[in-house]
Amino acid sequence: MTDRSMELLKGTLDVLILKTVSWGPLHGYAISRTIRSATEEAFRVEEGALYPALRRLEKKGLLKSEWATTETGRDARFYELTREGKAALRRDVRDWGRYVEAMGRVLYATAPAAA
Amino acid sequence: MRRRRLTRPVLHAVPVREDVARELHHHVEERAMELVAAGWAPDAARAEAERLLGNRVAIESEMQTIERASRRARRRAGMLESVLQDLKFAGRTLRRSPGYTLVALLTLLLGIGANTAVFSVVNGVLLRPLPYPEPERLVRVWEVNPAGDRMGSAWRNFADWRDRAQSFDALVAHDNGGGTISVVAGGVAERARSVLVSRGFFEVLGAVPAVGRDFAPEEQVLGAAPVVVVSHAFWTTRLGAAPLEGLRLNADGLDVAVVGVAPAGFSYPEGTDLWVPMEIFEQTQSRTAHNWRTLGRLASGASITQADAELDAITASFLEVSSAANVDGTSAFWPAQAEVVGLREAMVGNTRRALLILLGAAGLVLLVACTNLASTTLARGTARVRELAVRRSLGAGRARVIRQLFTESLMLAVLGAALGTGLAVWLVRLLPLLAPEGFPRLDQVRVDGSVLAFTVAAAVLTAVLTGLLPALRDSAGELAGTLRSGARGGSGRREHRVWSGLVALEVALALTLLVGSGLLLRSFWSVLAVDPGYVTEDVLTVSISPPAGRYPDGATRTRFFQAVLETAEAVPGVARVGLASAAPIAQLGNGRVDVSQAATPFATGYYQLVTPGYFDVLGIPLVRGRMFDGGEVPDQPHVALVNQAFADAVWPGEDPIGKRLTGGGMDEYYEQDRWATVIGVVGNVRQRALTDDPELTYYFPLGQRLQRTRSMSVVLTASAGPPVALAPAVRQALARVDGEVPLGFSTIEERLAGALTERRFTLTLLLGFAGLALLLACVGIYGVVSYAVERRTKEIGIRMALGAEPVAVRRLVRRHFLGATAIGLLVGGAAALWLTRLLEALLFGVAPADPLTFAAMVLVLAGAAWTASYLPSLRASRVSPMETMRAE
Repeated sequence: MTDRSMELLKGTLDVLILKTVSWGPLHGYAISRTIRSATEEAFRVEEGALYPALRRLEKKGLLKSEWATTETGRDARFYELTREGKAALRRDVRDWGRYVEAMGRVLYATAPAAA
Repeated sequence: MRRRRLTRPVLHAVPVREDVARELHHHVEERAMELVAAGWAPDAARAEAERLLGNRVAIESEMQTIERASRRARRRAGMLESVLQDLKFAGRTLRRSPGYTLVALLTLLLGIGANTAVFSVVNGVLLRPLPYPEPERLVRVWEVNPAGDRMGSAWRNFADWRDRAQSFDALVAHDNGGGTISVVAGGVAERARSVLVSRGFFEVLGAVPAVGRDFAPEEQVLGAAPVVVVSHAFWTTRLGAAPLEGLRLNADGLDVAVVGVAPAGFSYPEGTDLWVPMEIFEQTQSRTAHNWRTLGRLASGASITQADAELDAITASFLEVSSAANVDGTSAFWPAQAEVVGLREAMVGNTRRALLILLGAAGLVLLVACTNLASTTLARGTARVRELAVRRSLGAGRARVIRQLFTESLMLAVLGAALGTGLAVWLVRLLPLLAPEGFPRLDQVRVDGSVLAFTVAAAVLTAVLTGLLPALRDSAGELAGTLRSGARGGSGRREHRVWSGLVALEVALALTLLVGSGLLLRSFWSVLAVDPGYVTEDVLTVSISPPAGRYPDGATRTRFFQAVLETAEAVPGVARVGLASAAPIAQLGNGRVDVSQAATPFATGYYQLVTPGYFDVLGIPLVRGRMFDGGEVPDQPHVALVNQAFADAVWPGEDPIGKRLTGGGMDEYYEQDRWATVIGVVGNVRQRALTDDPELTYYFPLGQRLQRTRSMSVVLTASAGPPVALAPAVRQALARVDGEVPLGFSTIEERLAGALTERRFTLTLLLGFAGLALLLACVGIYGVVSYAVERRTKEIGIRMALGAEPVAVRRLVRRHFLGATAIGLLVGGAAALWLTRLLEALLFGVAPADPLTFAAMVLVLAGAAWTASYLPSLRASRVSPMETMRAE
């Protein structure tokens, strides 16, 4: 974690979670580790904040969960996407793409936009 | 990442608190291990993992809140989903067996429809409060004679009650409005019903005139110029809702001003067109002239019992203030006590019993319908045992299966109730056509909220009765045995006991209804078979009430009626004409009559003023002596006729000819001590009702004794064809005598039929219910036997293969049900014996335990049950042994 790591934007955690579990069922710790490594710790997250977010997504019906045994023999709560969750993820990814593209056009512009 | 599922989902088994704690614990543990792998010391790693997690208490509490809400939502959704599933499944099941569904729906439609219709009548007539403010304080008051009979109030007695009683806010008197008067408004003479009312009448009922005003005090004194308040209906239809300013009409020959219009819908007594202050007329001071009805509003806090006791005390004092001589001989008319009754109860009167009986009968029909459905559902359940066993083996709990089966019954019941409500709405609309004239509070009958609540209750009860028993039974079936054996049904013996019980119950209920309606039917026949004592066919009657204004006394009225007689006789086609105070069926004046040479010097009798043609037209025989000659005048010695009943009662074993009598309070000659000599005896007549004994009656000739009562009836026969055809000609001719006298045409047959409508109404409905119960019972038996045959096809096939005769096979499948029918007949007979006592007041000429009725109805039911079970048993004897064997 560097000093320049960003505060996680509100609402982005949900998308990150959905994307992370889209590869298959994961328990909370695995999700947290995947996000950390994938973003190369660019985001500074209080690790505990992940869990209320998971429960909230489950309540919304985007995730479903089940207690199961991990390969190391521990009990863990595994989350996976529901049908609604998959649809939400597709929607969010599209929105993010547009957002990033729009921001990029402005931030990397080489000449002022035509009035 | 791979994982192995726990053997069963534990999501909901783990308490929220633990669920949350375990998840975080797992995280911290894994995180610490990761740190250890990166070179941390174990203790430091654990501490760092905790630090990285953040505020554990806050996180846990947030997670718990979300998780709890989430679980609640899932539970609700699950419940809704399973109910929807039940409904969908029930709908599919019912669609799959349309025959069963149709019969069940029809059964429920009739059962619930009949109950809803009858209850809406009961609700409107018996339960709904009267449409007046604080209706529970309104009462009617009667005088009661020493024999305990109710009487109207004499004016003086009423006045004493009103002036002395403390239990009332107000007491008012009104007459019975029986007399129709002629009203000329805008040049047209019409009949209207007017009622004389005493001061405060409208206030007691809380009626404030919609237009104009109530009577003013100066209009309610002796001799004041007559004014009227008219009903809203009369004002709009007959007066064209004209402004009251200067509005006058000719009522009964008097020119009256209209001062007010009653509020719309206000009509007390029912059917009143005009209300007139009674104080403008002189009132008799007699304490035995019971001409008035008394209406009261109890003081707030006063009970009916208190009011009754107080009026009893006041009434008892009348006897003391009156001389013994006055009391003597009029004890039948003497007020001994008072009786105070709630107004609604008083209005409903005898209809109450009939309605409650009908409601009970409708309830029995619904029970038959339920029994019927329960047995059919049971039988179907037997066929479905395998399906249900499969469902249970696939993990459906017993409660779930019961709920599934119950959903089916409930769905049927709700559909049936919806259809039944439709039927009831239709029937209630039809009611005014079916109900007898004078049926109280008919306008209050409608299908409203409380009726619908009743229907819903009936539907739920139906669902419970028809669904729960089969559901409990079917869901209990042990699984393994059923699946292994491939049986079509459970253990035969227990099965049969339940079915037979239901069949017996159905038969018993149906028999009770059949016997009840049979008794009413016999009563009806008995009434029709009564000899009224007069010709009932081809007699036209015309009731005539000459207006008091132009015919103020006996002499003018006598001249008028003599003119009527002569005019009617002259109409071409008229054969014979007679006149009487009242033609049957009608009330007659009655009172004390003094008689000579008898054991007691007075009697109570009904009197008629007649012309000789009256006996002729109605075929009332002259038993002995001679008839009036029609030329009697007041100055000659007065003559009278008596009927056989009068002669037998007053002069038993003696010749009544030559004996003398003089009429009581109704006759102007009584005070003059003018006695009439009996010159003949005529046959008995049932004048007021066919179900009463012939009244003691004495007759005076028109023209000799003048009467106080105003109206008379013309009776006439035609020389050819029905006399009704003469009505227009008679009306035209009589209009020439006086065009402003209203005429009421009718026939004796109509008047008799009118007197029977109430009996016919009750009978028709009860017969309908009994027929329905019989039909339902037959359908039930048919269904149960059919299922029994279907279930035992294999066994029957084997028996036939082994050489059993078809007759024996048929007997085999029916044996149980015929036995059950016999038991049902016994039980139903006993129940009917007990229940028909309730009918006693409605019976005529037949005992509640009439053996003939019981026997006949048992035969009807037994025959029907035999047929209903025979038809499906035919199928049993046609079973082909080979096919059945192959089918297995």
